[in-house]
Amino acid sequence: MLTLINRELQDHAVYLLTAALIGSLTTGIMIYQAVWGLHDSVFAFSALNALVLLLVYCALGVAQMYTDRANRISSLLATLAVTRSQILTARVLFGLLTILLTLGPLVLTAVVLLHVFAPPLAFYRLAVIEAAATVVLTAVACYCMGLLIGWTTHKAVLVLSVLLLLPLVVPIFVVKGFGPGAHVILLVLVVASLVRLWYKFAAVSL
Amino acid sequence: MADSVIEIENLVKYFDGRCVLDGIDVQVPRGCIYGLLGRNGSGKTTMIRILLGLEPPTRGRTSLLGQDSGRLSARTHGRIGYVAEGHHLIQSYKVARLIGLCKGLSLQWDDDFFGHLIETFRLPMDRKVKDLSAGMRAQLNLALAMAISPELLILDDPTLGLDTVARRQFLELAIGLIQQQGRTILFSSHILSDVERIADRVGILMAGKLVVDCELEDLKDRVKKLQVIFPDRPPDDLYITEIINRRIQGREMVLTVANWNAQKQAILDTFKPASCTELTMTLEDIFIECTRPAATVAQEGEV
Repeated sequence: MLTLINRELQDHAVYLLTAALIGSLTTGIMIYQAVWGLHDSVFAFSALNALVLLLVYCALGVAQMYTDRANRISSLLATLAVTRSQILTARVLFGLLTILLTLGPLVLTAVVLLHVFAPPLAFYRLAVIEAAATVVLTAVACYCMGLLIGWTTHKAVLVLSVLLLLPLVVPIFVVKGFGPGAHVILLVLVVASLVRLWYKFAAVSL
Repeated sequence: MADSVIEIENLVKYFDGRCVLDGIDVQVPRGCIYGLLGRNGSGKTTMIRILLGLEPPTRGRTSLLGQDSGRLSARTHGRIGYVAEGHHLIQSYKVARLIGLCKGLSLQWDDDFFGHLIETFRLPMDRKVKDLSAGMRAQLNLALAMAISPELLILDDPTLGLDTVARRQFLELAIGLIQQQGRTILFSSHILSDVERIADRVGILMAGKLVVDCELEDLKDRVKKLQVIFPDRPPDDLYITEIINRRIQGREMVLTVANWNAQKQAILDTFKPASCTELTMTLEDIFIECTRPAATVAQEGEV
């Protein structure tokens, strides 16, 4: 399993680095906002960063599956001493690890900053947890749908699907807010994407 | 068969409504070198891919080393070496990285043997797989498949793209491998002389059907090519069962017949031929006769 995860890391390091860079940039901006006060332009830049970060996660999922399909990587791996389930598990674990490593510090910083700067009210504590959960779930949903979208050989379908993904996901927390309603929808998206992907990958011709 | 390494039962595969494999039944015992022959598009690669669990069958059951092909465990995969047709290795990887990956994902790795193969084939470790020639890719693929000391080696047209020397080297290696106890090889090839040299059992696929499945020597014994010369023109009413091919030119009739026996000889004698000579047949001759579109076929069960 470690060899498979290491292979994913070497093949898709650029996505991990890009996400880490954007995550660090956004963390810096958040600290700047908290310490030196909020500016609209800085806030807009921070929001844009978050959207780009979601796109990077989606692109990672797409790249993992598309390059596999295009270069027939699983076709080779599946003839070695591994099963299809192990190949897919390693892939998903690497994706989740990327999200954890790049989004984790960002969410942690937000929690600490709110703890330090926000008024000590229960409402804020709850809001922070809910917002953090929503952000992480949105990232995971974007990644999982990227995996599903990437399993195609049609480039036009691929590009169109990626472009449609954000307008589909972002309104969820715009409309439903950061509360449990959004969590349920995002969780359903994640589970549905993974189940569909698992079924496809287990049965498809490699 | 109790000790079959490869088992195929009533295998059927359709692609877009087209039947590619039509009710294939094969059993390959342990230690056997099975030569799978067939023209392009006859279904050889599809059969191998289904065996390895890379392609789902439409109907039927296949198993390798006693495990269903669709549910092969990592441990079973680790006992199987596979050389794919076209040698689709990961093209964007450097040779050294690909070797590292295959080694990392193997159950056992024979460093000495692999080093010997790399040295023999003179493979450059610092070049990308896509920059290797077709022959070098084939050699790398062979080396990777053999390094795991496989119990079962599946070779899908492995010598495709190899020059004569490399092909000979590969055959020597394959023979060396089979001589180790318990090794089994499924060997599909277009080069019939290769199959004839190493196989002890052959199967011939034609239009999705397995038209021949028997021991190589048995096949050579059972299929006869006869040059029959008649005093006048050859008779039109010469009916012998299992005629694979019949060619008439003047007073001469060349007959290719399966399961030639005394009874068939007696039928031929009633037409009082001037002479009847048996012509020598190589595997290639038999293959060509068997895969002609209107060929009558020789199944082992029909003996």
